[in-house]
Amino acid sequence: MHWRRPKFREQDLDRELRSHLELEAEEQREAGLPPDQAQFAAQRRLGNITAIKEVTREMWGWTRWDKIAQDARYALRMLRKNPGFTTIAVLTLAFGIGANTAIFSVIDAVLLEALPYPQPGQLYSIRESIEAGPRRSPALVNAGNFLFWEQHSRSFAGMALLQPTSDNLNLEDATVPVYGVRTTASLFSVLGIQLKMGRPFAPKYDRSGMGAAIILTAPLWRDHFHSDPAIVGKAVHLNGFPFTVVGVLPESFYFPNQGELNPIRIAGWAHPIQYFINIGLRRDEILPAMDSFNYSALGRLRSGVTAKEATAELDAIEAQAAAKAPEGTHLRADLAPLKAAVVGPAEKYLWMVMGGSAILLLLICVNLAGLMIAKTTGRTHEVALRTALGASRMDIVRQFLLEGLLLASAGGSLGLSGAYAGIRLLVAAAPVTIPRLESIAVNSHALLFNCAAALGAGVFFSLLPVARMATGASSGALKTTGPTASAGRSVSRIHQSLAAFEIALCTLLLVTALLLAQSLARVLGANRWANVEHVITLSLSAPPKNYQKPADRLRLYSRLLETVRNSPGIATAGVVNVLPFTGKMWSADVRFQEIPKPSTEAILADWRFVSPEYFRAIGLPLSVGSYFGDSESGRHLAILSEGLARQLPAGLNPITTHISWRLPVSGQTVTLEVVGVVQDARTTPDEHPPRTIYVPYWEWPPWQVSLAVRTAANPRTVALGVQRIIRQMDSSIATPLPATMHEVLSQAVAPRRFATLLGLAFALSATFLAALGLYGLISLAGSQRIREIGIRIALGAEAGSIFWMMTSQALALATIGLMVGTAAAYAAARTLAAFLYEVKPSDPLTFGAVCASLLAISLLASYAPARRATRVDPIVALRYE
Amino acid sequence: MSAIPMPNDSPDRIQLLQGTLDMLVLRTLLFGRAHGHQIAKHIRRTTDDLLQVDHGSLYPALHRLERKGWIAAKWEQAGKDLKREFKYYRLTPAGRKQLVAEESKWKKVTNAVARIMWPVEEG
Repeated sequence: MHWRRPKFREQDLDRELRSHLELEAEEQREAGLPPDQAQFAAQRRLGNITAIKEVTREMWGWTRWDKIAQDARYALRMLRKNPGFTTIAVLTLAFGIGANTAIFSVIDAVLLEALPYPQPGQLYSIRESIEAGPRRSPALVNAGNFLFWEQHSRSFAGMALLQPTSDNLNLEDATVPVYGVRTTASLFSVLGIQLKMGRPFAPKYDRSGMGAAIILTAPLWRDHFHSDPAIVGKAVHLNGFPFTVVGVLPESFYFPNQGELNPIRIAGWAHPIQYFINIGLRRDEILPAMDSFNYSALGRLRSGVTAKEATAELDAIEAQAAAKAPEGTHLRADLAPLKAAVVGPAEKYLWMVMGGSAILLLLICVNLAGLMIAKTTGRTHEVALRTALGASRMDIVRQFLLEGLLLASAGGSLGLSGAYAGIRLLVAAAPVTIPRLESIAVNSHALLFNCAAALGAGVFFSLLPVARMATGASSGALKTTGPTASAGRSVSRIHQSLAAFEIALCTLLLVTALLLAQSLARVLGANRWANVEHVITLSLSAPPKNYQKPADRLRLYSRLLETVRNSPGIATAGVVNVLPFTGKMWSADVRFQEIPKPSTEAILADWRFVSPEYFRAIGLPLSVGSYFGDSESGRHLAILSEGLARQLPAGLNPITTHISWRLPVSGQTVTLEVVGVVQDARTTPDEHPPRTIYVPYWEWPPWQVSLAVRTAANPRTVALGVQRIIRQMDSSIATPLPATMHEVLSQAVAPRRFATLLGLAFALSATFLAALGLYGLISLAGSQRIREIGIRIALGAEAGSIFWMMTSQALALATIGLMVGTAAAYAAARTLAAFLYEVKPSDPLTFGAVCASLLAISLLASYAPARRATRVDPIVALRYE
Repeated sequence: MSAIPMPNDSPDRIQLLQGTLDMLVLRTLLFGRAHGHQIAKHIRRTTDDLLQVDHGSLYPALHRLERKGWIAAKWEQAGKDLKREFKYYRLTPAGRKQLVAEESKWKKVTNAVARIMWPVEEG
């Protein structure tokens, strides 16, 4: 109906009330009043027409929205009138909310959606560890033990054995390095994944001694095989050998990359998996239970079976498998949720960063609440006036809430666009070891998070000032024209607590960021020997077709090293099976002949197969004895790491010891003579270096090696030269991009650096905000106490005492904040102890430095307002008293 | 900014007054259509000026009752030679039902109050 529209309804009410007035006036006239008085009398009887209309409109129902629109217009006007405040509020909120949204997006993609498989909670990664006395050394999985589990375990619906591999894919016109996984037929059913086309591997080939079937991922199929719809059944060539394509995976398929499959992150191995080949275990791969832990395994628990039950069952099976193990040594199974295994240490760092950004947002809100209070102190008069005019408390609250929400939504939407830009930056800066990096985007979850954060922030910082106003005596505000001279407490207690709270939050962020920064510096310091630009590394694998025999591989590597060493710009070069900082591999027992047979403890170490020049090329210093010599080729030698040498009984000189070792393929046992001890090298930058044994590469030339080249000229140009040499020597060997040792190390410390840098950025922003908050508070105090200061100056107070009066307030607040903040920081540092490296959570230097600098900053922040207070002219200040 | 012309410190009383006023308006309209001024005058007259209807709360009440669907409004010509238009309200069927309900409620309340105030021996 037309009159329901607001405008008509308004006219209707107007007309109705007018006709009432006319009738009433008529009646009054009939009662004998003169016309002009009759009019007045009628109006008197009806009362306040505006008020009646107001209340009547409320009866119409949805005028609440009109009212909010009106309040919003008013709020906008207020914000426009304070451009400085509005700008600060919107920008800081945009920063805080944007940072939180961006980091939440990362968490959402990496942690919340980590495993895109059905019932991902049932998936567990399985590892073995060797328990000897009190020590438990984690290892990978032995293939023979895996087959034994598969045969006897009842807890698992299925389990799969995996081993990362990198091969040379031979295409018509080129050879490209590709990265894949050797696996058992069970993998896809364990994951619960359907192939896009073709079929999974046949289980009967799991122990066939040869893998000749391949399943391609969609990207590999698309990029190198032109999405050939008839590819199933065709042959593709890896390392010169034909593999039959049996299936292609769907585009949405996700699998952890090679680095994530390893229990210790392999930073240099963050290659996405491009294909799967059936594992076809060879007889020499199925070795005794206590040897060759070279595989990864994962399993899906039967529904209803807990991880604890499954571990207990596997432990019992392990005891059977290791029946022939040395006395006192036991095999154990370790189960870890696959998600935790895949996400790895990134998870802890991400939550830490999220915590930091949340604290920063809290601080921004506290800061804005302080600014709002400062602003509303100037508005007490306005509020008192509005209350007197009939505004209810709800009206005032709604007004402030609206202002806050307007600011927050402006900040939130600006922050969202910031997050869109920031997420690109974050992904670019993020360590490649963060899984699923490519899937990170500001999605609907992040959008929801953004809105919630903005709403929460808005309500938080606009309601605090209102709470204060509710307790504040607004009735007194009308009596004077401004702040009274006798105001006992110049700034509200809430405002003071907010400033102290800001300092506390700031302390918390600064202390933790500095502790992390020191840890990073110490981690880098501990690996300084390797942090060099002029050692380049490059990994390559010998194609099995041409280098089936160990002697062929040895000839390839030694010829390559000789050519490289004789090229210009190169000091020396060596090869190793696994570079430092790229993960833990090849763990096996070391059996010293000098330690009596019934040993109580098996000594587990990482085995490294190296060319003699490797130590000089990579820069690993010798502690005792000598390196291998090129002329000693064929002799059975070994070099120990310091950590391994320390395992020997006291009084036993490592140089005089001998080690029994069974060769991988022939199974022949040889005696290795220890000739030297070298410094420890780490597999990850911030963990204790593993015990390591180095054996000359002529004993076992690995299939895959990393070349370490010490350059005397520009490493970039030398790297290109090395690549060319390899290509000329054998064009079937793929040559990936070389990296300097410096790059290898910085990739390995990337998660730590990432979290530390963000933490420092948050802490510095927090310091700036806290200083701003304190500055605002002291300025407000100065302007509110202007008359008091005027009186003091008039009575002869020195400028110095006025200055001290103002700054001492700031220092007192800072001290309270510091006390609370250091307690919180200590508690936080204790929980973050796992991230700290050679720094105590209670590091006195850090705490001292933070306290001293925050006190100095507080003094600095209060300096200008305090100076202003000393220059108060008593005549001006007291004029209106 | 809203100015509320009713005492806002005791919401219970407002509630009671509002309810009562609603009932009185509905009762008045039982005789037929009436405009605001007539309703106010009628209530005042029939109670011998005892109940002064606050005009300020009459119109909000009329609009509220209309929104609830208990009364309907229409502008109609009236007066001598039908020259002027007034907004006439009349009772709707729903309003009639509501009036019955209010009446019985009111009776119960007044009886209860009366029993406390002036207890009489049953006999």
